[in-house]
Amino acid sequence: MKDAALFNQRIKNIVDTCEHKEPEKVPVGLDYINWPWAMAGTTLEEEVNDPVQCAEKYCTFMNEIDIDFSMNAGNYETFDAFAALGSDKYPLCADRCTTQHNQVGYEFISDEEYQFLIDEFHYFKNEYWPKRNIPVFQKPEEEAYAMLKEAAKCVRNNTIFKELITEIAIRDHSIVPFDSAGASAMAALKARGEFDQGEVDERLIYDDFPGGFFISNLDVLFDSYRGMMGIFEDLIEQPEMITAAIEAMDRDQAEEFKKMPPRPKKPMHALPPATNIYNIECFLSPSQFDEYFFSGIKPKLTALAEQGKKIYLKGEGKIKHLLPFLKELPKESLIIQIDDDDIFEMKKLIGDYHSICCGMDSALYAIGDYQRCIDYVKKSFDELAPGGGFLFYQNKPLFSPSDADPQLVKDVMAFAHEYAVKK
Amino acid sequence: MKAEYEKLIENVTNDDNKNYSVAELLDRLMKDDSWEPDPMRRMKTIISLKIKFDNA
Repeated sequence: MKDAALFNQRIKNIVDTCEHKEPEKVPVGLDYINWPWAMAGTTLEEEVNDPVQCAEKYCTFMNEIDIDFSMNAGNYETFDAFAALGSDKYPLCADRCTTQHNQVGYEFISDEEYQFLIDEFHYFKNEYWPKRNIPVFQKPEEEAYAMLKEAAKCVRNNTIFKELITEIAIRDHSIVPFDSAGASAMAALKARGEFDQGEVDERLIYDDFPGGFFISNLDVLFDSYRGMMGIFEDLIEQPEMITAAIEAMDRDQAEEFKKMPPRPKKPMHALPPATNIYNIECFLSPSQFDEYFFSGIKPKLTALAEQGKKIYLKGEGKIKHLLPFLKELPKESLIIQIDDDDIFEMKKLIGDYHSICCGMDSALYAIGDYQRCIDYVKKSFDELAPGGGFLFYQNKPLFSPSDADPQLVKDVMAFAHEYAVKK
Repeated sequence: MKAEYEKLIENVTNDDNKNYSVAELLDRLMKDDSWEPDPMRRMKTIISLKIKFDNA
C-alpha cells in the first residue's frame, strides 16, 4: 500500500487547479481502457473468467507508469455476455483484448415502431425490444433462462473486475479515479480497513458515494433505437417525434428512479466528479442542444455544482459551439476533456471559467515519434498550465494494446510528471 | 395496446417464446442465488445486464 499522503496530495493538486490556483504539480492522467493488456503478457480473453487474476494482470502496468488520476479504467464491453445472449454486436477484435461495436446488420426502429416506443415505452424497452433483437429470447423458456444466467455471470465478472482494478489503483498506487467506481472502491477499502485518507481538509475528501452519471435520452434514442441517419432525418422532418420519444423515456426513467434506494444525505465533495458525456450533442446546433438536452440537464448539474461537486465533461467530438451554454453552469464546476477541438483555442475561449483536461494527442502515440510527443507535451504545459485550470490527459483513450508502444507511453508520462512540477 | 402494436409483438413471438416474458426471466434470475449468492450484487448485475439489452 502506498501512503495515503500521496493520494491526498494528488487530490489537492486536482482541486487547486480546478480552482485556478497553480498546483504544486499539474495532475498527470492516462486514459487507457484496453491498452494495459499491452504490458500484461496475456489477453483479456485468456483472463476474463477469473476476475481476480484478470484485475491483477491488467494492473501490472501501474508498477511501471505513475498516474495521478484516471477515467474509464478497464471499461471493457462484455463480449462474453453478448455471446451468451447469442448477439454478434460486440465481438472481440483479433487482438483478443478490444471489443468492437458491430453495427453491421443492425436494424433500427421503423416509423411504426417509433410510435410504439412513444406510446408504450416501458413495454417496448423491456419486452418488445429484447425479443426483437436478442436471439436468446427467441428460444424456449428453460434454454433462454440458462443462457441469460450465463450472460449474467459474465456481467458480474466484469463488475468484480472493475471494482478490483479500482481498488488496486487507489490502495496500491494512490491513483485518483474520476469514474463512479472510485466511490464504491473507496467505500469497500475503508470498510475493510485497507485504505483511509486520514484527517484531511474538508475540500480534499474523496466521497464514497457516486456523484452521478449523466447521458441524455436523446443519446440513448440515437444510439440504441433510431441510429444516426434516423435521428438526423427526424431533426429536420419530424422533430416532434424526438420530443415525444424523449418525454416518454423521461417519464419511464422517473418511475424507475422512484424504485431506487434514496441517495445518501451526506455533504458532497469535489471528487470523484459527476460525469456528463456528449455523443450526438457534438453534432447538434446550439438551439437543438438547448432544446433537447441542456435546458433539462442544467438544473441538475447546477445543483450538484452548488454543493461543491466537480463535473467531468467529455464530448466525443467538437464542442466549441456549445461553450456559451457551459458558461451558464457555475464557475469552476467543469473539468472538460477536449477531444477534437483545438486545445489552445479552447483554453483562450474558456479562460479561467472552467478547467480543461488535455495536453497529449493520442494520434502522436500512434505515430510513435518520441520527440514529436515531447514537443507537443511541452507546448501544452507551457501554454495551458499557467494560472491553473489544466489537467494533463489525452484527447482520446488508448483503446487497444496496439494504440501505443509501452516504452513510448512510459517515456512520455515520465517526462510529463517531471515537467508538471511547479518551477 | 393498439392493434398495430399487437401486430408488431406477434412478429417477435413464436411457439417457443410465447409463454414467458423477459421480465419474468429477470425476476427468476434475481431470486436465483446459484449464480451469485450476494443479493445486492445480483441486483446490480441485473441492472447492468438490462442496459446491455438496448444494444444487443
